[in-house]
Amino acid sequence: MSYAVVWEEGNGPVFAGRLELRDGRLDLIGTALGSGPTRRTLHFSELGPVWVERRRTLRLVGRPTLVAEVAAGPRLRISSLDGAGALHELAELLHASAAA
Amino acid sequence: MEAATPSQNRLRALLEASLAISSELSLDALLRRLVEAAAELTGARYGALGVIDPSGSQLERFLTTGIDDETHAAIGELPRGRGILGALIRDARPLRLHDLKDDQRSVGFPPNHPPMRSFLGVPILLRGVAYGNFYLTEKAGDEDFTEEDQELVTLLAGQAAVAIENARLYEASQQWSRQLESLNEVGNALATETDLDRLLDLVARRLRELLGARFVGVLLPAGDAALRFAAVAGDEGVALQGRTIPRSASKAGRVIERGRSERIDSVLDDPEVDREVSRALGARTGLWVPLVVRGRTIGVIEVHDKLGADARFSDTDLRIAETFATRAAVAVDLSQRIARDALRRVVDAQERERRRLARELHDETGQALTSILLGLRSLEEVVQGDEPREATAKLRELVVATLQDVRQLAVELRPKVLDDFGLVPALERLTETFGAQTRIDVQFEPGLADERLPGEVETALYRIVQESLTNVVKHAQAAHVSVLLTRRGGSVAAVIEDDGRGFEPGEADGGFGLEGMRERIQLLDGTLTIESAPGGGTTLVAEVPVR
Repeated sequence: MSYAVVWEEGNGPVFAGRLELRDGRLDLIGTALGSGPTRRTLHFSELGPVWVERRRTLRLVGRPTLVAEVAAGPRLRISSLDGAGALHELAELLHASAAA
Repeated sequence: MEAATPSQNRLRALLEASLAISSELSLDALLRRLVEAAAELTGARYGALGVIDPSGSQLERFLTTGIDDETHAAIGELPRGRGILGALIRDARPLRLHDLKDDQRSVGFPPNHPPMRSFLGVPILLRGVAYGNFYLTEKAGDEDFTEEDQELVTLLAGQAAVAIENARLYEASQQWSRQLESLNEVGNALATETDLDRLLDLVARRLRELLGARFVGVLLPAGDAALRFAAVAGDEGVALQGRTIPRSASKAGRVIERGRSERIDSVLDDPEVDREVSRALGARTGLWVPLVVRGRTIGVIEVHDKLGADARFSDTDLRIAETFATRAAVAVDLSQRIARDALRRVVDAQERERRRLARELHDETGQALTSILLGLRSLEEVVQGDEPREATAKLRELVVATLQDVRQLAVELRPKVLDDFGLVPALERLTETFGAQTRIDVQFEPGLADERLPGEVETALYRIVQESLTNVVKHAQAAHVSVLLTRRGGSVAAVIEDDGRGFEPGEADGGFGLEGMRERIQLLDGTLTIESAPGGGTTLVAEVPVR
């Protein structure tokens, strides 16, 4: 299962690429303006609370975001480019995968 | 009573043989009677009758008289038609020898074979076609066979020839009748099956049964440059299911191009045959038959190796395959049209639903939220106290965010600009938004000016560009993308090109959504082509005829 997303960690660069949900982890694969390809792997055990944020100040590229607290790192924000309903679907899958 | 002369005895024996022949139904029994009569009439100790197979190269039947079962068993395998027997097959003329072993063509006898010296061989001929030979040896009294013996056996050979030909004609008519029956049966089955995968599977399996072939595959176009094994029958060919082969470098592709069948007796000797496929199957021979409907070739049936000793296919096999292919092509075309109609209905319904929802969100929910927003602004101006004013401001911010989401959702469902102003303004907005959200540099070149295209064409091209841009984000890791709309004669094309990491075209799976795009474009009789290479970016061209 993969989604077209943009993401940001803390105040770092905004990456565009895909999010892949795998067994016990998620992979973020993509690029940011002016940088080469990147791959970020986060195990579900590293993730704290996950929620959908709609406040304008916390949006990413003007869209609602999925916010995830990361145990040993800055907060992760993810926005879906896959159209209506994709962000909530992703949030549900992340909750289900983390709980499994 | 006066004793009968040898000539009278022979005449009587000949008449008895003729009567016996007319009362026999089984070919084997009849031929056995004939060889027994020949031996009796010529005074031969041993007699045999060999029937040449339809290929004309070897014996398919060999009936003997004078040799008991025990000796038969001791000799072992029956002759295949070498030595003197072979000489008679190759040169269908009577042959009389004083002693077999003195003839230079003789290859001797196998162990346990009784000694034989004098020999008479007579071809079984009818209208110049050799059906076999009579072989008689060891004339009584150590004598040689005479001219008269030869004439008598030639007479019997004529009767044998008629019997063999009749039997073969009967067998052929029975076989053709069985095949017609099967064809009718298959025709009925094809007419009632509309699911394409099941239909293709039925075509492959039934044709394999009809022809007695080792492998049958049905190939359908996969894009402009490839053919896909859409169905296979035969254990060795299972691995080929779903595999694609290049059109330009395969016999199947050439047959589609030429629109006529081909029968190959040795695939190794034909440079057009796809080596990879023939190696994978271990194929020796092949039949390729196009699936033609109303002059349009929609696919090809590929058949390999007739089961049995001779792997070659006959003219009859080819005729059966062609008859079968004619029926199968109509059924496949019908099934494809049903599938396309179903897909068209789904796509239309989906777009209609999206349009309704988008309009509802934009015109109703959006308008309601705008009214709420205006009300909150008015309220903010009159409300007293910091706390109520702050609460009102928060509410207003929430309504602004929700209004933004609702508008975005409406655009994503179905951009109003596409219906109101057409493809070019819709793609301008799409590419702008895409660039702003992903930071990927997007160049849009609208080559259509203000021209409006048919609604279904605009929708299809918009959705394909949208899906392609999503693919660029997900898979390409590109820095630049260009989207070009262009007119090409009677068609319009959208070209989406990126400078990303590319891929091997054969590796693009369902995750890329290419099949969905291709199906969508085919609904409009258009084509979708993809050029890509690892490290070399990707170019996708969706072209649709515009009437």
